[in-house]
Amino acid sequence: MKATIVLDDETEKELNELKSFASSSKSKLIREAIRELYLKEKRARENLLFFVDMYNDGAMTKDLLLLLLPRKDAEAVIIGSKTGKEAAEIAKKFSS
Amino acid sequence: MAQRQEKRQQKLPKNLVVDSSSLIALERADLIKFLDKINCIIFISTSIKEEVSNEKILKFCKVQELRGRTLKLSKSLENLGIDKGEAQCCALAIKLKSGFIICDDRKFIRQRFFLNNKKVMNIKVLGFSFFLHIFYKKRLIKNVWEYFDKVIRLNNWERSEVQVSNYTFLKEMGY
Repeated sequence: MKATIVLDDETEKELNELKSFASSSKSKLIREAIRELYLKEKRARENLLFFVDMYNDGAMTKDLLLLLLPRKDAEAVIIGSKTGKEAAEIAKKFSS
Repeated sequence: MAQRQEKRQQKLPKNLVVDSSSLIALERADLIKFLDKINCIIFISTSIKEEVSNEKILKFCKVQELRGRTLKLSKSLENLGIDKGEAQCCALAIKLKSGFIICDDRKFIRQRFFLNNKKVMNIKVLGFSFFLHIFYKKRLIKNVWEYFDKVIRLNNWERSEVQVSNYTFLKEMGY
């Protein structure tokens, strides 16, 4: 597929710099960026609760979450996990 | 038998301060009817009453108007950027000395995390899953996860702080 993309000045500058840093073509860089975004979205859409379990069990760090998931989802895991654990502490007081 | 029932009752908090988000979520999943059977008083503020404005929900709630120091506290929380409803919930929880509110507002959960304000941090946030836990203990529902999925889906809470916090809560509680 051929596509025309519109970039703002800043993104164009970044793409040009990246092209020289990575010694890669602009098309390849854009394809890689899309692939990266696609994988992150796919992981979050299909396996978010698996990542929650991994994070809650200590098998995954905040940095790793931010690396593997879209920022919004990684934040949801970090914030939601802390809130949920605090909530369970309160609820357990009523059960003990 | 009566003694056992009384003992089970003692395990539950008497006063629950609940935000509109959790009440509406329960109503959407057809769980609101069970509030009548848990022997807790559901407190809401006047602002929450306006937000809910649904008689099916309001008939289970006791509306508490904020006055004096409690109102002042609520205003000070609003000045931090917290929405009126959640600010009033927190102030009411402090007044009733409950130490927690039941709220499923994504914005508030995020604000509480990032604000790092002692007053707000001292109020813990429980979600709709706390009700699922109570309903299960009272044998009003048989499968907690079925209702968890239903509430998340009906309220578009997939991939949000609300889904993660309620999921973590249920897992921590051993479900």
